[in-house]
This record gives sequence, structure tokens and C-alpha cells, in this order.
Amino acid sequence: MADKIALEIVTPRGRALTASVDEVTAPSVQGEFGVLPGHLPLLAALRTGLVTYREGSETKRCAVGAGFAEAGPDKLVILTDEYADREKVDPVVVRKDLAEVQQQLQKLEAVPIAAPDAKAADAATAQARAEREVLIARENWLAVQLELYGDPPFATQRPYEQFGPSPPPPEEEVPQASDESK
Amino acid sequence: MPSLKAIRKRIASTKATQKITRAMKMVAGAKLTRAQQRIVALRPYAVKTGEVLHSVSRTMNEANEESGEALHPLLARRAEKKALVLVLSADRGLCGAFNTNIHKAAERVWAEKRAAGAEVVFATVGRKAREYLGRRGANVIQDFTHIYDGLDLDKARLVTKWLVPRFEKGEVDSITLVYNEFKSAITQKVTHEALLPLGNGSGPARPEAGDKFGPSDLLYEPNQRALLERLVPMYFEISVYRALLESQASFFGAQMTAMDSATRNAKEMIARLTLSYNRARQAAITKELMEIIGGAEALKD
Repeated sequence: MADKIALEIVTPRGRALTASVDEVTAPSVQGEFGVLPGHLPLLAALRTGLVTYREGSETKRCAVGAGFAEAGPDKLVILTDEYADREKVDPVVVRKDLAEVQQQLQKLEAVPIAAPDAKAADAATAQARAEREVLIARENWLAVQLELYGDPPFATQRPYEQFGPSPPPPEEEVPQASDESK
Repeated sequence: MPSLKAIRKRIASTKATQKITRAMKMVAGAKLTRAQQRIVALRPYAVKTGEVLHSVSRTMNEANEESGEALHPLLARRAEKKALVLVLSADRGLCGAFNTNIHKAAERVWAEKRAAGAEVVFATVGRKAREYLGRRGANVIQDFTHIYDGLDLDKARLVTKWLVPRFEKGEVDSITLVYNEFKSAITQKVTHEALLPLGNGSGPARPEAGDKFGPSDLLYEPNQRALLERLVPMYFEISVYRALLESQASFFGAQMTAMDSATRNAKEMIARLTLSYNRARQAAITKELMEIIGGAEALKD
């Protein structure tokens, strides 16, 4: 069994990070999960959040956007749209962007948001919802950068970025998992 | 024989043109390098996404083969009644046969689909394709402009955000992409590939064959279906983005080559003109000398 994990963070702009580490914690949509050497193969959807990794006694953190992660006994590959490490975060710029995004979101609050499954949803509401989703994702990304910097903004009441359809209730998941293992 | 002044003027104007083509060649070269870098940077991401998607959809296919139901709206296969062809051309000319090749390929795909009994509609990226297909009387239902200026993933998303609902709602049954694939700075290959429905199960075998865990042993969080919901659009976005990048790099490559040969042609032309200019000048001098000598001879007598 390997005693190190090859951590790799890949973005559309290239390989953002490659490191040989002892332990990684990544934010999946169901909560944070840790990976130690010898982890079972796992494919997890990630949400915007902080990835913590430990090299020897040194612990580092970086921020990633939504994406997914593939873990194996000796590797963890994270595929994501966004990546930032602490040195790259410019809190002044990020705070300014965040304020702008929040302002735009506030404007959109006025537009009634129909439920995603409402049939009568006209084009305007659909577009408002799409815009809102993009803005929320952006807000989350900016907020997590500030969190990485060590100065997280106030939490909002807004829902976290939507992930696929509405999450299935946990009791449904159990029989499905047993089906797949057959 | 044209006058000395006329030749001089032509030389000057050819030189000016050569300066422009040389500058354009260098600009295209610099932009090409950047576009190439972006393709290289995107590659690991694209490869990995495709790999994971194929392994997930394959295991899911095995799991519910008999149900016959599509795993994801974007993976649905339908009889091809209405086909959408997305043509990626350039916004500008001065790039050799780049646009012509694309137009020919689009025309070919059009004829093929029509022969198969499908109605064909077009979506275009780039001014040239829109103009050409418009002239040919094609049904261009959407045109994306200014995609190439500052091309990034967000710009590519503008295209995919429009394409995906068309397919999901069943307005079109297939989407074909026609673009120039970047081979090297001097060669481009016109490619047409079926973009949607995404081919499932046909992906390359997972490289780590020596792994003790097969793909079906993977754990999924939260579950396979939800993962697929995210992976499929991501893969689709990446495919379109890659094609856009390839097309852009090809354009710069083609432009660089075209401008290089234009510069060379201008050089040849200047050499030719200079030769005839010198010849004309020599003739004029000789004529003048003859006149002077003739005059002197006449005075002697």
C-alpha cells in the first residue's frame, strides 16, 4: 500500500496543483470527506469549498470551485472550474466583486422565482432563475476565497448552489446502492 | 514600357502592403502560441472528464441495460428527423482557404443529412459562416458573434447554454459540429463530429488495467445519477470549448501561413519591379547620352 497520495487539481486552464501528500480533505456535496492513503476508489461531486492537504507536518489549504473528485488508493484527482491558493487571493478585489455580486442578487430578489418544476414558468422567470444560479455560484466562490484568506463574509440565507436535481432522500439511496453492488 | 514614375509608385505601394502582411503574420504567430498553450492546458482536464464520464456511464449501462431508458437527457438517442449543424468559422478573412474549407465541409454534411431524410438547421460561430450559409439559402437559426474575442470557458458556455435546451426539448435530434482541427501551425484538418447525443460506452478503456479495482467497484457520492447529471453537461461544455479553441488556433495558423506567403509574394514582386525599373532607367540614360553625342556630332560639322 502506498503511503502517499498524489494530489492533482486540474482546471480548464491547466494543472493547478500537483503534490505528494499524506492526507487530503475535500468538500463534497454531502459534506467534507477525508482521503488517506489506501482509500477505496471513490467518485465524488464537489462543491465550492476549501481543500486541506497535509505534507508531513505542514498543512496547506486552497480553494476550489464546483467540480468532482476521483480518489484511488494512492491518488486524488480533483477536476474543477476554479482554483485559488492563499497567495493568489487579493482580498480587496474579491471583496469588491462580492459586493457587486450581492447587489445584483438583491436586484434579482424582486423577480418572483417559480419552483423549478412549475410548468407555467415563463421565459423571464426561467432566465432570472438561471442568472440567479450563476450569481449564487459566483458569490460562493468569492466567499470561499475570503474564507481561505482568513476573513469569511457573513453567511447568507440563500440556498447553496443547486446540484443536479433535488437531492434524493437518504432512505432511497440505500436500496439503490445495494442494486449497484450486485 | 511604363514610365519611371509609375514603376516607382508601384514599388512603394507593394512595399507598404508587404509591411502590413509581415506585421499580420507576426501578430497571428504570437496569438497562435497563446491559443496553442490554452489547448495544451485544457487537454488533461478534457481527457480526465471524458474518462470518468465513460466509466460512469458504462457501469450504469450495465446496471440498467434492460430498462432501455436513457441515463441522461443528453445521452438520449432519437431518430434523426431534425439535425442541427454547428459551424465554426472565423470572423475575418485573410487566412487562405480556412473559411472555404469549412464552408465546403458544412455543405457536405448538409447534403449527407438531407440525403438521410433529415431536416437541417444551422447555428454558426463566426461571421464568415453566417454570411456564406445565408447566401446559400440555409436555415441559420442562431448566430454567435464575438465568441472569439477573449475566448474562455464562459464564452463557450454561451454556446452550450443555447444548444443544450434545444436538444433536451427535442427541437433537434442531433447536433453535429464542423470545425478546423488544429494539427500544426501549417496544417488544419476539417473535422465534423457528432456532438450530441454523446456517445456512451464507446470510450477508451480505462488505462489503469493493472488496478485491482474495476470501475464497477467505485463508490459514488452522492450517487451515480446525480454525478452523471453534473458530468454530462461538463463534458459537453468542454467538448465545445475545445472545438472553439482548436478552431481559433487553426485560424491563426492559417492566417500566419497565408500572410507568410503573401509577404514572400510581395518580395518577389518588388524584385521584379526593381529589375524593370532599373532597366527603364538605364534605357533612359542611354537615350539621353545618345542625344548628347548626336548633338555634339552635329555641332562639329
